[in-house]
Amino acid sequence: MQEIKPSVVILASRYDFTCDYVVSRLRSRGVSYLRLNSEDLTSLGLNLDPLAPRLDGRADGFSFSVTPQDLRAIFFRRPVFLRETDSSPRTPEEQFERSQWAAFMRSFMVFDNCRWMNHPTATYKAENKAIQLLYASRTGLKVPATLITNTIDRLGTVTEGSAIAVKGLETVLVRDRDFETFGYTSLIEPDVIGSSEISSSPMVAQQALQHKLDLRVTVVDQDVFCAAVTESGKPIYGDWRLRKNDAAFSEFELPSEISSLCVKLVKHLGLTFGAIDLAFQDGQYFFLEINPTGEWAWLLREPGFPIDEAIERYLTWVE
Amino acid sequence: MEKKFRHLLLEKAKTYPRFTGDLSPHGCRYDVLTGAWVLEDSGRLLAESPEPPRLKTKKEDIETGEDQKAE
Repeated sequence: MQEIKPSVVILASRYDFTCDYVVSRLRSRGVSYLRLNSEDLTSLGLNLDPLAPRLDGRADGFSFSVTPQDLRAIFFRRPVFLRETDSSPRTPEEQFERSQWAAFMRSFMVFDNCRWMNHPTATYKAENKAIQLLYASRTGLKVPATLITNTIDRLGTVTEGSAIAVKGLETVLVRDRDFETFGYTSLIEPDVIGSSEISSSPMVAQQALQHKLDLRVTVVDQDVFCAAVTESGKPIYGDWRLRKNDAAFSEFELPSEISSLCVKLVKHLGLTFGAIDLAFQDGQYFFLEINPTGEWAWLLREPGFPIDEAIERYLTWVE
Repeated sequence: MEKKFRHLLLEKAKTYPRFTGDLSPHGCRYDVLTGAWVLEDSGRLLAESPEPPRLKTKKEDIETGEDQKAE
């Protein structure tokens, strides 16, 4: 039976195809790795000694041991908390297993002498939009005027009479039986907001950048990859994801100062990877948000960023 | 299907039929030891094939934003 003593552990889902690219890179380098997916855990025999720390496991056809002596890095692509987005009734057993295995994945934090991309505690903090905006501003990035609010009292501070960009403080994703509802950033006139229901839940109300060019900046440790998002060669009005089928991604050269600020922001948030959304308007770069678990695989082909290589380099570092 | 919500953010959100199908890429199987999807006919990594079928990239993914990992 093959025994694996991984130097890289990947904690993911089978359907997180992004990880397949990282696996491909690790294999090409002959790196010993182990990928554990939430869906596969019940078919494995696992023993975690939290004090050693050490994880021993059995799968069909192979076994593995994760020890601090061999382990160099963990690529963590699991949720840091379970969101309230699913209306599907779960059996008591399903609820039980789901929460226990999620906690098991987070228990890998006992391996605290290796690199993480990203550490769950840093991800938990960095996923908060208020924290993101504060840290981005402190880092030196420009941030649009923003309120997190459930009232119209001070909306005037984020608008000069023009539309306001409104979005969820947390991803707006709800499900009801056979349907799903997903919220994008919307540009709304102040008087429409004034006549709408907003008191029941906070939202992010932000100065709208209506003539922006969207930039997706992917930071991997010290490496920065920036893509401009356009449609027919032009910037996209509003939330570009609404036009994603027609969107094109091309390499965009960020000024070195802005690149450095993006690297600095990721570091200040305790992250080693971050997918940052910037808006370029009137010669200025504005920070919109950062996603610690942002997707990047689609950028491998267009515009051809070697993000997988950058991640592999970080995970397989040698002093 | 027309859904009515109270909060502004939900009123402006997009509602669509929920995808409940199989997310497995066509013609592939998941190899637990390899830790990746492989093509059924060749055993080659899906990620290394020239035309990866229905890869879940930003453009092709089901519209749940980047938080689908939370499920």
